[in-house]
Amino acid sequence: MDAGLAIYAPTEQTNEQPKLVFTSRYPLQKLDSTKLAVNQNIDIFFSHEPPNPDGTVTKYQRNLIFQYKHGYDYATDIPSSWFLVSRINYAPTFGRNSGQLQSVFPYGPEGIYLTGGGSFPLISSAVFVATVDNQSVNFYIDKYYDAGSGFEAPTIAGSAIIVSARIYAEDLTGNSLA
Amino acid sequence: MADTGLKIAQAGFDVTTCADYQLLFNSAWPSLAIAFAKTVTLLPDGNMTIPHGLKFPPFTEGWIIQNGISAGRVFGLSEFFESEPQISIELSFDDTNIYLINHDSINSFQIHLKCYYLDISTAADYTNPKPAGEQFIYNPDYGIKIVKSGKDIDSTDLRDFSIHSRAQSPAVSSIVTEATFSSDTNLSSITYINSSGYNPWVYAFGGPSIGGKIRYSPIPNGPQQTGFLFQSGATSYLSYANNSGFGGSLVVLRDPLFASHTSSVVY
Repeated sequence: MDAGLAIYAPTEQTNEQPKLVFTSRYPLQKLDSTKLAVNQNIDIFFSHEPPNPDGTVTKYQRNLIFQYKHGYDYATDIPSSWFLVSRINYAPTFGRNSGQLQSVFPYGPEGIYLTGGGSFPLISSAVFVATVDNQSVNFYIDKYYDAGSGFEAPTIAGSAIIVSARIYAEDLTGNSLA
Repeated sequence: MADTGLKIAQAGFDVTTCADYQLLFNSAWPSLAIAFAKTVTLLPDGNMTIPHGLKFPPFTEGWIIQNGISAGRVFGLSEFFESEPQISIELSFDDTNIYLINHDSINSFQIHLKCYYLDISTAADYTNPKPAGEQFIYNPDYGIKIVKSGKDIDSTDLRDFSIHSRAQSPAVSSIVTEATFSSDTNLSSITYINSSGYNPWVYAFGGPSIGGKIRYSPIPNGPQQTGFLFQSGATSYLSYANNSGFGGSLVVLRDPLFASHTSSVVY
């Protein structure tokens, strides 16, 4: 390393090699503390149902439910992101009943089922999806429904989730160490 | 060595007595630092082996980029997890390489990989500090910044810095690990209970032993055939059923070290 900060612990014996206790060689993963949007816990209440596909001609539909500017204002680069979804008032359970998934888990990353029925992959389901581009964070509910499957269309109206969103300055170009 | 290092307190606080969250910087913080980063293109039905250059299995994440949009991170397949193209990509790693497989026979994907300088195969337990109760206010006239080589120290782009006290970084609270799960007939678990009581942000990694090394994959919440992460309140579990020889780790973050902004949305 030709520049930066390195901290070594003092040695106690003459021949002992100094122990590196800190180095700035590896850049920290950084949240900009001056941008409120990059470090948020967002409560989302579904007062009505995100539209389902008709289940015959179309069996998949993506619904944009919320979008916001993350504030990094990059020309083309995409900031890195973490999302953690917490379902409100969901008691964790685990198991199956007549082949139908009954498990309910209170936490999960972007891309998780909020509800669903059928064998995996679930035939009738609502999935929370978060995407990030160079300017915005986008939350979607993906709906899967097959009218001929015997399962009801997925419903999440009346439920609520909390999305913990961390949008980091480090981008996805592969140049974080440069 | 806890007695050696660098601490910088926020303006108005005594660095020798103030709480952890009143510091701007502490070289003893187990903050996540990026030790490897690379973006690759994964062809349909393709696979890649990418050396990460570290001598341990690092905390590794992969983001899928599709048409200029980050479509989500890569996790192992779970019955509680389904989002295209996340379920098309398989990511695993050991102490030498990152392994990628694209199960989509039609589409190519860009995958961005980051390895943090954190050995997930070694147990660790750091002091769990009192979390911040209020938003941090940045003071541009006070703090620390270390610019990357060739970058401008007056840059406003945080990417130009290794360290900048305008930024806050996620830090690790604990690593709980099990080299191999012992049972091949019952459910085995690694358990972590957060003594501070709040629900921590937890990542889980696990997988089979291949050539004497655990081949870790990031594991989502929910049941699956080869393992699952399950959180209930302040307790987290990484469990495997009927898979003798599997190993895994829980990485528990110190979040909320700093207060988050809260907002409400009614759809």
